Amino acid sequence: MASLRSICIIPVFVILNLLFTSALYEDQVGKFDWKRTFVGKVKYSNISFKRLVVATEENVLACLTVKNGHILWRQLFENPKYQQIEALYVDDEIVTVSGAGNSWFVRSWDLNSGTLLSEWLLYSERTSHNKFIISKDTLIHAAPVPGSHLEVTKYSLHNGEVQGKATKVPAAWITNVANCLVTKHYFACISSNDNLGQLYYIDLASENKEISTRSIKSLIGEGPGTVQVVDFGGEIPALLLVRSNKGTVLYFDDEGKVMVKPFNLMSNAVGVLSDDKRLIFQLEATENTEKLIRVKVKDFIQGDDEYSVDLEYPLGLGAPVILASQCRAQACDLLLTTTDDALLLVRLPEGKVLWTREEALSNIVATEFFELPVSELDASIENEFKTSSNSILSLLVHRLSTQVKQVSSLVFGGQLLANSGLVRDEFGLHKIIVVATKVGKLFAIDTLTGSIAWSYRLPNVRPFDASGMFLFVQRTARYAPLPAQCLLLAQDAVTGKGVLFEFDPITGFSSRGIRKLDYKIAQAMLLPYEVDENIKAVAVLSTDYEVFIYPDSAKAAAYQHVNRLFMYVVDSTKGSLKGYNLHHSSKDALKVTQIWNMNASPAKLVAVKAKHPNERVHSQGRVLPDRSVYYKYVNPNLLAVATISEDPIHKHVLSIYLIDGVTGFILYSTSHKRAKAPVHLVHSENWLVYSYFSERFRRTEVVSVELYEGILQSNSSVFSSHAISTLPHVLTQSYILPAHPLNMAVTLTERGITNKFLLIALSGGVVIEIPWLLLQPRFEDIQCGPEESCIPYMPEIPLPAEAVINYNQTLGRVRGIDIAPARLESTCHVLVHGLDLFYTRVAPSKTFDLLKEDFDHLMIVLVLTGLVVASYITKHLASKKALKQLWK
Amino acid sequence: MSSRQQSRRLKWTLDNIRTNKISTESLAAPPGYSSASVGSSIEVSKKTDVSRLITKKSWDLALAPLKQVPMNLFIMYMAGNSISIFPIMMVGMLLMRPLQAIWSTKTTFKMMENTNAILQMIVYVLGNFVNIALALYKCHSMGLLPTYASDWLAFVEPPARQEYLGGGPILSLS
Repeated sequence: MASLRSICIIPVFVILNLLFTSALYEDQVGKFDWKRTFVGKVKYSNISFKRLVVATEENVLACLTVKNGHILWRQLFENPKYQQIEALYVDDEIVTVSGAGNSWFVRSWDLNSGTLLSEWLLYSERTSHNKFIISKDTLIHAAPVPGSHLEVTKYSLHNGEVQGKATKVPAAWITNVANCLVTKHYFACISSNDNLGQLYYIDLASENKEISTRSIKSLIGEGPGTVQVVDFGGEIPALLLVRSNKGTVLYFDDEGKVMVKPFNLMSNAVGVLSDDKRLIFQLEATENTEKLIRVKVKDFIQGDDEYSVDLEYPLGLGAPVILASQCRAQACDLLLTTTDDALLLVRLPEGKVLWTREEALSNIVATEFFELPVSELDASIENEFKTSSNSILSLLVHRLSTQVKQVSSLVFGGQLLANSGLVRDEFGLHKIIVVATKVGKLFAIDTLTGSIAWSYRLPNVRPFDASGMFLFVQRTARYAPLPAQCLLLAQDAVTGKGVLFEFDPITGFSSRGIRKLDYKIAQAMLLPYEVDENIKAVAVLSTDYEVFIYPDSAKAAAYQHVNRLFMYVVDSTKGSLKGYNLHHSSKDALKVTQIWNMNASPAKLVAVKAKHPNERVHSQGRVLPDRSVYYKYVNPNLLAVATISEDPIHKHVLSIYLIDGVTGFILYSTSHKRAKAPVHLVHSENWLVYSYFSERFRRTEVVSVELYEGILQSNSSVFSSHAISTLPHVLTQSYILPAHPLNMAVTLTERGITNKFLLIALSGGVVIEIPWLLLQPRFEDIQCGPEESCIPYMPEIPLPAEAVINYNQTLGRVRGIDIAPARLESTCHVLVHGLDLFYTRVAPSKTFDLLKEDFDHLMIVLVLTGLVVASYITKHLASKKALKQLWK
Repeated sequence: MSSRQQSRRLKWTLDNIRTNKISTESLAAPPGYSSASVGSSIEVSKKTDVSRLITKKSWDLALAPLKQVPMNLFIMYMAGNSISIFPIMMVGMLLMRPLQAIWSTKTTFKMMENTNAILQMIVYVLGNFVNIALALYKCHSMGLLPTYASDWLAFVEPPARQEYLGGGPILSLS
């Protein structure tokens, strides 16, 4: 028995080794992949000498170098969705308080290495907005309860012991926690945001915790507009009272009295301690178009202007705010953050921007890959044979003129595109990735280097309520001289209505700018038909179920195809899925009509997945060992829907449906008891793979479902969802995934000939590739073995280290995997985004259409020339010999 | 006794009275002698003989492919059904040789200088066809012939889409 098993296992390992030999060699590291590391939008920061410690909204603690902004170390905390860093204190070691609700982790970190030194859990009974004040060895926790009291507890910083007793300070004046702040050891609040308000403050470090009060009127006088309290910083207990964008500094003196500075500041003013001298820095806008931002430095005592510097502020960045500063011997370093999440370090008094980090890239909401245009020379060659007139003379003139242009571009070099190097290569491996970020900034990233080709900030734009933004490829760069065109759909940050932005993805140029729509967007789809100038139109469905077509001129063309266009809309809050057609449109107005409806409630819709619209299925069937064909059921309109419902016996029940999106016909459904989220779906060709967490076995399970039409293909020329004669034959198989998946995707190639790989991002920060062949359901009645090129079923999916596509580069919090085909059939581009950005190329069937990198070109040339030369020499010698023989 | 004596006597007697007349007509000609006129008879016999030989030879030639069949069968059996270099080479030879032979039928039969070898030619070609058929059968049993639907699967075009579907989760909360 044992020997039989070993016999079975050996071929399995052989097959696995054959499948998984796609790992990198050491010298290939970084050759076609790159990684960019981010920290997220900075919340708290501290500059200490050459180090910059930042705590960010991504719940990340990181240490950067002041010199160039590179990350020295980075620590990822809990999920930022649920927990946030609430306090940062840097001394000999770093102390952070992070958490949410009523429990917080107090952690101390080594400044040099970023290792965790100590950790204790702070637990409070109240779940309110909490303020933390950290000093040398104590941590004061202040929990304001609006309208009631303030709870103050003192802890020892290193072991979490409560020092003394928790005190409750009666504070009915706390109306809104947003009006409160802590500055050093003072807790200050204003009772209301108008002239009638009072400023209350307590010295939390003192024993008796006396409440002092001053009226706002007496501090800054009367005036229109609301009053806000803003942090001032500067190593002293001080705050800014801001009214109509004018700030006044209040500070607390040693006796606990509030003092008012008699000068007005901007609301972004920050106090800085510079060699025992207190300074105020504030940022102002200038009229100078080259130097947009001016830093004004004021004296703290009198408010006199010391000096002001115009910054070489990079174009395209949003309005800055000073986060942290450090002054040593005249030179000051200012850390700025902008509304588009960029992080800058400015050195004063030169006013030079030392470095910029585009932290917006840590939160990508939409991605699209674009082919680059051909070089000018190639374009002109293409243009040479493209003429409209037929007369010989004009043809000659056209030809001569293009050839003159070609010669000139050869001699003088191309202008715009050649300089930036954004020119299409032979295999389509050089692409440009356009990403839209959460803050509404667009970036174009070069796939070869990972550098940013251009960026464009869209003010007042946010992702849709449901998910992300939309990027549609309206025209690729294939149609030179017409530029490529891309369309971004997003939501207005204020009104929630739609925003439309058309741009050239290669240069970032937009001829029309941002267009604000006067309706809210419910859904949108790219129409598969090209209208004039090779543009694909986009149909946008408003929340009032009206259909708009962009560009507007494409309406008539879209009307021709209304009978073939269908839409579906998923409402996950109501748990409903609705399908619409456009049959009842008129020439002037397109109209949607609901044709089917699926109500999953009370179950929750957790995931809906359609197939990739550009997917091509090359093989229409699966070859059985007896060489017959089992035809695949490839329905491009199929939707995979996952719902989870609460059940009194089985806790959670996961249901999976395969629904034809055109007719609403449910082709297949199944359910799993005691299965819960996270559910990930991968839908491609004729199969679906989904993963869920099994509560019964406490592990992640993966199920693959495959649909077949049978041994006969019902219609080999046309596929219609309406023409369904028999239900497809369904094969399923389930597996154990010994890891926790964060995201799943499947590779996509130009013609779909190459095998498919599943790319799974695991919680450990790796992205692993798993051959679809390993998951493909086996036929029950057909033998499976190496002869049938079939891997015997193994319940546990092997996760070998060689299959990790990001080798040792751990990726933080993967949120998405985006895939695009290269022009080379074997290869596809992969962009993994999350906190980090990682790009690589994946070749599931290895690069079968490409010579190996180490192919010896020199050798083959030498051998060939040697053979040619040798044959000529022997020919000569042979003729000589024949002549000699004739003379004999 | 007397008879013995007589015979003894006879032994030593010479009878020169009896003369036997030998008729020349009744005697067969000595071997190699022909009374007919020498030149013409040789020519005739040569002619008939060569033509017979040629037909015989041409029939030999015409039947040669058929005679190869058992040998080919044996080779095929020995080659086996696995796809490796030698069986492939053998099958290639099996297939190529009859094809070449058919191609060069005319030149093969030219040396016969006989115009009425049509029948032999037909037999020759048929024999080669038998060999080709054998080779094809071998190819088939080796799985080299695209006779199954799966062999044409790569050329099946994906069906054209009739309907286009787009959509997703509702984007904005109304």
